[in-house]
Amino acid sequence: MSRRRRGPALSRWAWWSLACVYGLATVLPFGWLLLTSFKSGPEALLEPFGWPQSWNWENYTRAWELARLREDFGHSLSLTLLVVALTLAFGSTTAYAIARLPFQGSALVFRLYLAGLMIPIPLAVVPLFFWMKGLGLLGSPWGLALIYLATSLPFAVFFLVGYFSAIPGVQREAALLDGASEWKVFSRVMLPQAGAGLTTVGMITFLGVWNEYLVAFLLLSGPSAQGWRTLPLGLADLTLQSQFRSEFGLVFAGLVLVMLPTLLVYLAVQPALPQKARRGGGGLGW
Amino acid sequence: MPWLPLCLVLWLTTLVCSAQPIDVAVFPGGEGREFYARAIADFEKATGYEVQLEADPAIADRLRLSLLEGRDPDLTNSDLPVWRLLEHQRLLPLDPWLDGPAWDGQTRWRDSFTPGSLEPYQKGGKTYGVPLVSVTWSLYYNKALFRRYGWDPPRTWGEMFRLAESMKAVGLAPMAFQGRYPYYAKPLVQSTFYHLAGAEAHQAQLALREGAFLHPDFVRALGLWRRWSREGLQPGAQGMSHTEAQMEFFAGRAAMLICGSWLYSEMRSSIPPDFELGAVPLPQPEGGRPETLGAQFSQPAGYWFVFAQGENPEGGVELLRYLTSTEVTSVLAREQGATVAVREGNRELHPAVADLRRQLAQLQTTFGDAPGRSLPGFDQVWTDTLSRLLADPHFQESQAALALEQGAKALKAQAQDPDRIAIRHPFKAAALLLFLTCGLVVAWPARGATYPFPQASAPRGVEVLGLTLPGLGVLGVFFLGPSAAALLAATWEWDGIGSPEAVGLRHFQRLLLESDAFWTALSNNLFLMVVPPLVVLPLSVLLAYALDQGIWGHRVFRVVFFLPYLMGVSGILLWQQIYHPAGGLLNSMLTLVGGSGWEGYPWLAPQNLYWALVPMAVWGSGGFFVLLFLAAMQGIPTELYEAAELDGATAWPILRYLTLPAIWPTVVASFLFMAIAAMKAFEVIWLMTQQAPTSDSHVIGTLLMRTMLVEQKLGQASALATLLFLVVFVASLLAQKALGKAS
Repeated sequence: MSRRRRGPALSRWAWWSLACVYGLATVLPFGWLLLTSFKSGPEALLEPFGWPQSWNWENYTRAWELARLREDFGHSLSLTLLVVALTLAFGSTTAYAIARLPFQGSALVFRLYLAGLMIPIPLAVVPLFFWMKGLGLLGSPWGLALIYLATSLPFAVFFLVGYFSAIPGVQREAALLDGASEWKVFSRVMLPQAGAGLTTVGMITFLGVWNEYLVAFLLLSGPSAQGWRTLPLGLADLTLQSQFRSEFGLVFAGLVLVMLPTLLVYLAVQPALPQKARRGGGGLGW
Repeated sequence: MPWLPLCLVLWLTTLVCSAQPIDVAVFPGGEGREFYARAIADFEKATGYEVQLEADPAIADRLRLSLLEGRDPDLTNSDLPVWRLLEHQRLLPLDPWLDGPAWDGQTRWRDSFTPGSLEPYQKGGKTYGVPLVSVTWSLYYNKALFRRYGWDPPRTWGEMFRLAESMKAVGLAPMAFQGRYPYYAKPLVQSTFYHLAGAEAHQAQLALREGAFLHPDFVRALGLWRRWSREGLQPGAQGMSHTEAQMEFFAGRAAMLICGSWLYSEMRSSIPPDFELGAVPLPQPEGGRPETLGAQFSQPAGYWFVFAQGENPEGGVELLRYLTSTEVTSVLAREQGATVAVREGNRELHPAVADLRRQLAQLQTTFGDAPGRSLPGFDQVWTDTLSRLLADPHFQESQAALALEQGAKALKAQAQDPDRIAIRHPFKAAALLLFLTCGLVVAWPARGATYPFPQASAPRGVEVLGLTLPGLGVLGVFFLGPSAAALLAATWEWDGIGSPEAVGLRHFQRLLLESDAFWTALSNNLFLMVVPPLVVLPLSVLLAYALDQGIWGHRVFRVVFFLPYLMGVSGILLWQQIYHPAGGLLNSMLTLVGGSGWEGYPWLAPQNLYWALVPMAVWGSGGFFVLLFLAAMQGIPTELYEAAELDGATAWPILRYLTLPAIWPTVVASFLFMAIAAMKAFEVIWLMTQQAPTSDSHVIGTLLMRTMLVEQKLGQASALATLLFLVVFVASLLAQKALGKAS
């Protein structure tokens, strides 16, 4: 079904040009980033605007190996996947319980999560540091994962509660009448219908954890982390380091390496994200 | 023999103790990690000690965190809260070893250093800090350029001003300057003052004595710098970091540069091979005191400290003796062209810095200023004043002197009487409290309003509650609990080293009534809450409307627009490069299309920083809102559009009278969403300012980090966080209220 065609061709051209200009402005920095990531140190600063004189792949290998981004990459990836999985598991069950299985205290549980949504993370930061120290979790990836889980859950629950309560109850009741257990109804009937919602929560949690800087900086900077750090920390270190060595190609290569997974993940899940978009067919008449 | 087991235990203990590795935290600086790794490997081989090396450019922040953790290293050269640590006896006095032999055994260790270099970190007759490199400040110049035009390096300010004229006449920028870190000008100002007014007046300033900054010679020194910053600095210098400015100098685009003697080793991988580096002492003022002629400004930097309560302090001292040996320091001087603080070490100084050696040979005495020596926080006053002098054309040298004097006075008053709070912002404080109270009263959710889900006729009990408990536990222990604790911590005072003390609401009084920093930061947050959304949201509506019409390629556009939203920290670091004054994408493009006025425009200088964040916000979050609005628009029934089109309506009226009203609740919600995000801003400012915002460019989030890490006032940091929370909380309540009303 074609989305509306409105107005004269001229107006449609104008809208299209607007989108093109903005699209170009969006892509331009990426292109520049990619080119610069292949330049040698002085070249990146002196001739920032142009084709690289030679393609310095070693910027990438050095960022990957010497700047230890390879280790950081593994750390960030496993940490992020763990947190996403746990957030989805805890988030979906809690949200389902609140939306579909009202229990004594469900209003309180929901309000606690709502409160979590309204608290800026910096509020918790100072006590959290000493709290983790007391628990012996300072510098530990497990401690960091638990904090990320705690800060991701409020959004997950809030979002999924809306999702579950929007699914019509008829199917659920039919399944229950057929003698299915609550668990089966949840996992076989309700969960599949919330697929787009789960993908959204997963994506947003992924982005949040993959790019998180503040908490990681506080918990992983001390000696007890023994060098275990996440990718944003590694990248910030690399930028700082390059200030003393003026190796900008290296930083740009690092930036590309950090961006790549988020781009890939997004492009992979993008078709599964909720989009009520109707299939448009050439509004410009091509 | 009953004491045999005891002996065994003692022997085992000594064995274990001597087996403790020496823990070294190194700021690698210009020397580089490899240098330290090599020296330490040799040391291990020679002595049998085991050393654990941690070298990291961000070591200062990390070390402060490990001090909070209560785990001191043995040896470090990092920037430290030295004077506070001394109060708590955390540092080891080194005099017993200094009076012993140096590593090579030729002299006393104490005598092996250049004269005066042990003084900066002495207290109560004891020496705590030992230097490795020696930092003298010089005026560097490009010898080849000077030769080509027949110029002589300037010895006085007058010569320098005249030289600048002839440089500009041939189209050359006289001096590159590290404008993002305006304190690079401090040595020049202090040195000029020293030569004008003498050593005693300089000392009076270091001691923050009353009136020391109102000295007429000091105003004159500031005035010289103010004039020079307008006549002599490269266009765009304000926006340049130290490496950027230094690259400009080595690329031959500016003829001179002011820097410490680490310049060569810091930049050596980027210096063109045929570059001839000249160095002369900082320019003398006309009419300076003759007795100060042989003195040069030397800023203590790269000092090493041994911790008293580390695991192996003796090992730390041994390693320090080795690092300051002639053998190791000559390597630094020979290979890296670093001037060192050990006399014999400079003999083989790298030929590229021959001028520095000549300068060292003529040196009679040095003077300078140890960071944090006067009072913690005074360095920030300097930075702010120099920054304003650089940026604000109406800020006169006398006002700058007054700002320093008042800053010194305020800090001293606070140090003498920590309970006194000056009331400077009564109306703003009242307005904020009024906003918070009114917001809470107006928007406090009615009973049941936050829980819109149907209660079942027969509520279930324990088993379902059990299902939600693990998640709830994690939420409570790792997020809600600490947040609640922060509200309590805000009524305590603690530096993380001593013992905490209850202070009631004093932090809040100080922040709301007295602190300029708090209000500046809050107004910066306010800017971010209002200005970027006003650009981002209308543009996003237009773009969403374009996509909603199904223009050609709209599915590709949708993905492309959204990409920047995924970038997070890396997006910020990318924009930092886009705004690079001399060769960033933006300025290169602007000059390409003909605006030569944009060459070197300092986008990231403090006065432009916040406006520069607007395009960044458009790039970063525009796509997200396009998707949001697009989804909302696609919820509008097609029939409505068809009816409108039948009536002959065109795109604009449809947008104005049909689409916009329909998606208005989403627009309002997005505005509040952006405003709340702006209140929480941290990374963008922290990273755009290279982790060191000036007082003008802080937001609450970065101020919080600074208060916690640099000033180590944990209670006050919690109070800041509490205020941040209150504003965000009330804003969120208002947002929900608005959303409820709109739908």
